[in-house]
Amino acid sequence: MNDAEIVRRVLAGDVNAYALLVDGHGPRMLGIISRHVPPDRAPEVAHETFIRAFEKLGTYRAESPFGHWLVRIALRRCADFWRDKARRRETVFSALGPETMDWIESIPSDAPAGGLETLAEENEAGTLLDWALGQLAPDDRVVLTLTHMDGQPLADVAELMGWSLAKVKVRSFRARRKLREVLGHLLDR
Amino acid sequence: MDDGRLDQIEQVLVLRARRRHPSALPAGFTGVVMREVRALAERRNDFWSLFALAARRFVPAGALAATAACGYALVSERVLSQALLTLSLHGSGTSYILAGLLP
Repeated sequence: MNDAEIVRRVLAGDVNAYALLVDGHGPRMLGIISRHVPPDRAPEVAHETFIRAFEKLGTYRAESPFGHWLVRIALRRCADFWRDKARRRETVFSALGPETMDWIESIPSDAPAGGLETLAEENEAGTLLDWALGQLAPDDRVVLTLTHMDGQPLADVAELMGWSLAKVKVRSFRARRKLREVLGHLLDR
Repeated sequence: MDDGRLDQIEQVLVLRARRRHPSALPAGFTGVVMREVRALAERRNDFWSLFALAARRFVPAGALAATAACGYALVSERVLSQALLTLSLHGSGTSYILAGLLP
């Protein structure tokens, strides 16, 4: 049974059939969400995504795959997660500690490719990544992760975000510039 | 600002982001989601049951009230039209009399 048929069954009143969709798409959704929110909060956002999808199931048109529709909801929930944090003025990642600052200082200007791979495996890289992304606006963060970090084609990102291609290009460019500004300020300290 | 180092740091962050492996779904994830989904579906059904009950209970009284209001409006409109017609037929003199300006 394909996703569209399951959706039809759920809408017809067979609520339990929704479990097939949760089972089928759960791991992939968690994978996508984990790239946009702190990994320990990803299951919670995935849960909210499936609940939201159930509430909005009546609006799903089987013109595009159910997975794409679900990813759009998941990305919106991720952006909402950061918006909520900003509204409550919560800091998920505290200011960078001395270890991370020392680690940044240790990065040379001309490290070989293999050296970068090694640096990327260190915990400080993760701390800096979370901190730097935390400085961006929620939508910028999502679009930058999709385009620059995941390397997804702009057309795919436009479809996922429900934006025009031009908007994705502009937002992605601005978000990357902002990220470089943030990192630049860090180097100037 | 050292652009070379900035490029290197940016590359390290990109590599790090691509390396991130998702954690596994917590045990019983589907069960927890389905519990909430069923509760939502029940709440939705409860709303429509309540709506149908209210409609069944109040529709007869509502229809009666609407009929009475319409009837009252029709009668009032006829009386008012009649009064205006009378005034126009009798001319301004009657209007003055009605207004109490002439004996």
